Amino acid sequence: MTGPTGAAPLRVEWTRWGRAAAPYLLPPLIALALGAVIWEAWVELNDVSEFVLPPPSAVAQALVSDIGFFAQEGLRTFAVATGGLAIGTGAAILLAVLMAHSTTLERALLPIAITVKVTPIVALAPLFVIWFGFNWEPKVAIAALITYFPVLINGIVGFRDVDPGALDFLRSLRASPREIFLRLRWPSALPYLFAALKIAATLSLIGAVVAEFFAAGQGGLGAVIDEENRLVRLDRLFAAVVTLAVIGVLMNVALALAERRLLSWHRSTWAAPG
Amino acid sequence: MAQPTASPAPPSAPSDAALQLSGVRLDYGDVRALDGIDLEVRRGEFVVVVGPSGCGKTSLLRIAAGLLPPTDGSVRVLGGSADAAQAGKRLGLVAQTPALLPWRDVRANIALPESVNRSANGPAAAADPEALIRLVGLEGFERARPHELSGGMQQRVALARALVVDPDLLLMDEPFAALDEITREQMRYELLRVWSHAPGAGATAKTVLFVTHSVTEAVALADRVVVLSPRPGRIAAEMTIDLPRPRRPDDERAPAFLDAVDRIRALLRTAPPEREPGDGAAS
Repeated sequence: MTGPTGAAPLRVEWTRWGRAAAPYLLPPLIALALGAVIWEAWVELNDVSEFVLPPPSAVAQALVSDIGFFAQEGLRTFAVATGGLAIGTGAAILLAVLMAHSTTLERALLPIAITVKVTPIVALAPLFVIWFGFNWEPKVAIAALITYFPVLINGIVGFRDVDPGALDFLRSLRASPREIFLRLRWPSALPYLFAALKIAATLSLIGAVVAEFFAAGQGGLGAVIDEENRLVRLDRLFAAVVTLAVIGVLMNVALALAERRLLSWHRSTWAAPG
Repeated sequence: MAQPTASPAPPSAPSDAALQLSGVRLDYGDVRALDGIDLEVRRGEFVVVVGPSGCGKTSLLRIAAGLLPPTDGSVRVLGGSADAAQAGKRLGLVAQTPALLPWRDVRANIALPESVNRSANGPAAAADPEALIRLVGLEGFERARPHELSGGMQQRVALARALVVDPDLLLMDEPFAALDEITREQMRYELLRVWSHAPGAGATAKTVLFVTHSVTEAVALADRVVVLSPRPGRIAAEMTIDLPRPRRPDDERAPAFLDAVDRIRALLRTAPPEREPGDGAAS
């Protein structure tokens, strides 16, 4: 298979990869470029002040000229977000398993979960700093708190929405509740959990940024946004927002790839819309 | 040939019965679904229950499988309780939907029963999955996922999955009802072939309790047909089908076959929803 030069197969690989990725990459890139052009033209034609709305070209320049800084702060935010996502998701799945198995537990705990959910995160954030200190702990806690809810709700439905025929079959063989959970409930819930994870991933970034507003000692994109806002350096503020957006997109792409691998049996991963 | 009898089958020694229901009644709230069910299925017998939809056929089968406790009456499965039959993995269940695990391929779906309740796995109790795959005609599809298979093929997988524990009692709830007419006819004779060749089916074939609303299907499959009345379901009549085996699709045109079908249709038409004075509120 290897060509005489050895470089040919590599190029073939890349071409194939590009051809496979193009339908996924081109539409969003074209849409983004179009949006940037309109934004740039708007600012240019209306002579909008850079203290009100910087043109995308200025944002790009601010981002590229200090890319190391934005990457570093972005990584900090990403670490807080994924930490919170892991803890929030883990706790939500555990709770969902318990609630899916017991209506009494669901009735007892769901109102509490909702109460916690509707409490504004902005109100809790300063308290969390007092309770957990100024390090990563309050930030991860806030990110966890904002992510658990969609996973909990979808988890309860997912663990219950099993094929009744398959449940009958397993029961007719006296499968244990643990076996029924592992063989039937857990795989049945995966499509629900992935849908929730995609929502929770973006929420975890919001949680991390809000937390960084209040515990600014450790930096992160939230602290950067807060700082640049006060200095009215809007090009750098938007550069931080763009960095955040890139992280959010990458998290969703990673989840979508994992979903396609794990849920190849589920119709949600086959469908081409239309 | 076919003798309709109004009374239950002659009683036989208890050890001879694979399934014994006596005085079984089932209420869903105020609605009486089943009433006064006395049914005995002998070992090796193929019994088909026919009845209009909503007459409690599925409930009857779920009671036999120990999945639904009757409101009243006694249930003995394979000489013991339905619970014990479950715990020993001696039941094979096939439902109207194939109810396969969509994330498992054919081979892994057939391996599912082995992977649960392992303490009941005897040293050599289980049937060879590969032989079962051949028996139900799925060779070449071992690695296919359920969504890649037709409805008929999915039901073949469900049948193999039920047979892999080498069950003593096969319980089938309208397994072909969701299939098209052509496939359905074909599956009838596939089932009879598998039934007579299934592992353990040496001197005595497997015991089958099969529920359907198709009279033709009932006559083609059964040793004995049990006719259920509309709700509340009661045993309106029983009829022995002594058409010779092995049966073939062409047999469905034989006068004896058509005669049996006509008699059961007549029984279904005349089977009244036997109401007793106290039952007025139940319907």
